[in-house]
Parts: sequence; C-alpha cells; structure tokens
Amino acid sequence: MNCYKGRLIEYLETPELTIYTFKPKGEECLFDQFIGKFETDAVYRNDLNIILAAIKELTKRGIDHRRFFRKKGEGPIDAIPPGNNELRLYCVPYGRNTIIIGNGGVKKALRVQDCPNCRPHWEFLIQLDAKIQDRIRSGDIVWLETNGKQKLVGELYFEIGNCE
Amino acid sequence: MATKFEKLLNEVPAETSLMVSKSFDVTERILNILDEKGMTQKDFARLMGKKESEICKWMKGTHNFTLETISKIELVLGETILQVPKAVYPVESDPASIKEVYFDAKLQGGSPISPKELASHKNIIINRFSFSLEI
Repeated sequence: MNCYKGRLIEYLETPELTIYTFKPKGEECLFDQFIGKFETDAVYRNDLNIILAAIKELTKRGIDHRRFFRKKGEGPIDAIPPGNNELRLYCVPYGRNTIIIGNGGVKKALRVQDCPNCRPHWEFLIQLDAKIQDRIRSGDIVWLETNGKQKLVGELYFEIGNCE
Repeated sequence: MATKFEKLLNEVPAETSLMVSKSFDVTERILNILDEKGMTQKDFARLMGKKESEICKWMKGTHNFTLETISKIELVLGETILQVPKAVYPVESDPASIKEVYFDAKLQGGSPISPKELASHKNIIINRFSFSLEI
C-alpha cells in the first residue's frame, strides 16, 4: 500500500452523528475524493446520490449497529452500498454517534480482497482503525465527552502504508 | 462553510432522498420485528430464501424494496411492514339531505334534562327555536 501521511479530521457534526474522515497532507480528504470521483460520472452518479442520501439519514438517526452487523473475520470495516449496485463507500462505525468515512470505488469482484478498485480503500481503513485502537489503548487518543457527545481527541496524525 | 457532501446533497433528487428514507423506515421496522421475535438476520434470510449477505445489504437502508418483496417479508414474519391509509371518498352535499333541527323548548327551562325526560320526549318535535345567550 502507498504511504499516506495525514490527519483524521472532523468532517461534519449533527446532533446525532459526528463524521470523521482522513485528510492526506496536500490532498482533499478521502470522503471528498470519493465524491469527486463520481459526481460527474453519468453511470454512477445515481448510485452516489443513494449513498449520500443514506449518509444524510445516518446524520438524522445516528448509527444503528443492527445495520452494520459484520461477521467474524470481516473486521470492523463496513461499506455503504447503493442497493444492489456496485459502488461502495467504506466506513468504520464507532458506537451510536460516530463514523469514520474513507474512500471507495466500483466493486468488480465478489470479495473486496479480490477487487483492485476497492481493496486499497478497505485495507487503508483496516490499518487506520488498528492504529486508532492502539492509540486509544495507550491513551494517546481519548474519547472526550462534550455536550453529551463523544469526540476523538489527541494524536490524530497518522502515517499509513509503506512509509519507511 | 458547507462541506462537499452538503453541497452535493442539495443536488440529490427529492425522490431518491425519500426512497432512502423510506427504506431506512422499512428496515428499522424489520429489525425491530426480528428483535421482538428473538430472530437473527440469518433466520430471516433462511425464511426469505436469501443469502445472509443479501439480507445484510438490505439492512443498510439503501435497498429499493418492491411491493412483492415487502409482501413476502410480511408473510414470513407474520407482521405488517407497510400500512397505507385507507382511501376516504368525500360525500357530496345534497341540499335535500339537510334536515332542519328542532328543539323541545319546554325541556330547556333552565334545568338540565335527565335521560328519562329526554326519552319521554324523543319523538316529539315542537317548535322552531332560536337561541339567545344572556350573560
């Protein structure tokens, strides 16, 4: 995987949901990169609209973990699909009111591991989530509760991938 | 400043937003029924004759359910998922059907009318009566 250096940033806050995304240094954040890839694509624009409408619902309703049920071995990474279509936006839900949204692509294989379009975005979030969990365990990142909402506070700069 | 997401959200057709919102409502209803019945999504998939992965995808709230699928879900779960208000047809006013209303002035002598008194007068129509209010 390429080297990504950047920060986890708060993208949007509503009473029910805080959206975080990753912003590589000198680039747009991953969520905006995803939107930018498909906003002018005649084939996938409708799928993008469905995904954006789903995120809007999450901002109103919060995260219902019954919707983000993952089987053992699939890890914490989830995807928002537009119905039965191929576009995927990868995300990591945390608790009831927080979600990290990454990048995505057109899934052309049954398993994400076999899809060259999606695998890098999926792997990136796996590594980002693992580092966040490590820092929460070490205390470098904490969940800070303000006004009844939990925020990630602390060392939010990350180097993900082959950065040596 | 509005995010790219918020800007683009304004361009999402209203019918797409409404479809997704209704899909969230439908799946929330299904998830609640499964909880009430102590069923898993795997149980539900088996009853529907679907793969668990497909049901998992439905539950994300972006699936465009057909009425046929919703009907099958209602049958296998034994519960209503969608409820549409029954149509009410307005009755056109027919001037001939408007009846004049008469009051029994004798019964309204300032004291309350007991059910017994009313019963004894129910077939008696006396005079046209106009009301005035004195304070």
